[in-house]
Amino acid sequence: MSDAWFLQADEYFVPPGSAEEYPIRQGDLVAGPEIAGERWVAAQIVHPTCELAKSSVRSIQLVRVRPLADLPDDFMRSLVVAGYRESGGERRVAVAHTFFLPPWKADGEPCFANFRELVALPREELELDQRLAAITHDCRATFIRRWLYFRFRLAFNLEQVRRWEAARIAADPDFSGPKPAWATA
Amino acid sequence: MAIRVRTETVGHRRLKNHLSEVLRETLDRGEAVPISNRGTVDGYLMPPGVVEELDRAERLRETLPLLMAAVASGAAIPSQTLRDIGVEIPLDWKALNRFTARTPVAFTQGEGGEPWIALPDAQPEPMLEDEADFEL
Repeated sequence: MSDAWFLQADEYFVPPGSAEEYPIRQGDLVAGPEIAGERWVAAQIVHPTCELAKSSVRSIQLVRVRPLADLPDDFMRSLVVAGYRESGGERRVAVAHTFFLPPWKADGEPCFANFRELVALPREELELDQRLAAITHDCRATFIRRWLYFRFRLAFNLEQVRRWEAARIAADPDFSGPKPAWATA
Repeated sequence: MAIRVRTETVGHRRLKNHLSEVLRETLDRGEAVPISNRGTVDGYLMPPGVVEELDRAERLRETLPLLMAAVASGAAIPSQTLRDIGVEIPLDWKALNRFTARTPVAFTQGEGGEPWIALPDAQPEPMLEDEADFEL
């Protein structure tokens, strides 16, 4: 395992034909809301998956998805795509507040989620059933890992996160949809 | 920075009797000084910065395979070292994503420069969530 921050682009999203088998979960992409008069390209759900189904949850936490082209130069874009940088032989985490997103549709453009632009929107304002893209279970593990590093500066490796996610899935009586191969034991 | 080594050695006796002078010469010349005993070099007196330079060289040695692989793949890895030696790779996000997703990298530091300390493994212990809830 490479322990990379991000998967290869073709491993990010559940193919559109199978997406309906997957209930909406943390990390999925939804239509961008209008915030302060500006329509976002898309939004990524950061709200924990187990919370999403609760009727008591009235608002959902999202982060803004921006086109990679919003960044001022190619060096900044390369930081987002790689998630780390090299300098003087040191390999250092870079732009930890971002999560790289390849295009989720054929004519789309590469984007990134900006963890610093966080909103909680009333559930009724969101069209959760009109999801733009469902991320794969593997991608969710990378998303959780990056989120944990951003929020708490906890340096987990990908295998650790995947193992915990597998344990969580195995213990979740309400889990629905296909399970990842690594959580079926 | 190359580490220069003074050609003539300094014997134990001179080092002991003229330590301040030898240290000053080391600083002024910026050279490592071989220390000898009966004609055999048994140590070096280093000017400040040499240890850091050796450390940097070691880090570069560890990182070089990653940088060379990135160049060979046309992946515009964000690298100050490549920039410093004039290697500019045009950004192709697909090439960079493919490369970083498939190439192992061991981080040395977090975003703020803090040492990258991988957290120890812990056996997952699933906990059931209580169903009590309220709308706040």
